[in-house]
Amino acid sequence: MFSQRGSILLDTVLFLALLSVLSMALIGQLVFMTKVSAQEDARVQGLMAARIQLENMRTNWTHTSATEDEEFTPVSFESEFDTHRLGKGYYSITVNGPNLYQVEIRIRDKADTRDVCRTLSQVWDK
Amino acid sequence: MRIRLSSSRSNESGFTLAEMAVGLAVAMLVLVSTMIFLSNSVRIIHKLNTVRDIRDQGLMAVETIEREFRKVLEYGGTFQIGSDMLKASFGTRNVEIAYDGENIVLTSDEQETVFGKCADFDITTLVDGSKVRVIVIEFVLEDEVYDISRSFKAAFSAVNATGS
Repeated sequence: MFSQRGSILLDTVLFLALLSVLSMALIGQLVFMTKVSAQEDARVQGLMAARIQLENMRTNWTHTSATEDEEFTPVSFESEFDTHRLGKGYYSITVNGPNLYQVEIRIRDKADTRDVCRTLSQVWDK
Repeated sequence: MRIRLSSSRSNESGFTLAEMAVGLAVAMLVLVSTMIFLSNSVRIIHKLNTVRDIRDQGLMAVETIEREFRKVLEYGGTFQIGSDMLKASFGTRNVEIAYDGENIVLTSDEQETVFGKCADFDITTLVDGSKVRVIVIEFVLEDEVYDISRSFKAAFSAVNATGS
């Protein structure tokens, strides 16, 4: 009698343990997917902010020489619908030829731990 | 004659009614918890897929809007900004974007592209004095089922064009 009940108890414990392991794996995967999705949101916001910054610079070009890591504030995406996920932005300019400039824009995440996006564009100053 | 049932019963294998009841209750609890957990997991996965779809659709809208308006305003042209619309033309080429309260409709040379479902739409400009340098179109795409929304901004130069 005891050996049979003990066997059932062992089966139950093993079943619950397996269920817990599977649940933890699923929760881990969901947390990972949510984190990746948030990173992708930040990358998309960074990409749009970089394009707006480039258009802003391109239509009001004042640079004549190379610059290194000039800071700017990316356009905000904070609204009642969405969260702003961007930190500071930086641009560097290198001179590629007569009136031809290369602009590298990189935008940091809100926690300032990594670049969410980095773009490289050329501007021709007529 | 008395029969001794107790000793013979104690050797029988099986479960009492109380054991069965407790066992079934625990099994039901585990089953229901598992169902709820799986159902929530599926919901989260659907929500993440919807977010990805909105993101893809928004990026495609941004690229299409920028491309169509750059074609018209990059080297000249005229534009007219209204409360919920922007019209631009250069020679025979015409582009118009308008918000009808639910969708964004982009009309480029009679070809119509609809982006939805849009919760908010706004047109802002970067200006030097009275000269418009950059036009920024902001819009929010949403999904009502999962209550998700993401904002997007398309920007293009209007420095060589005229209008207000």
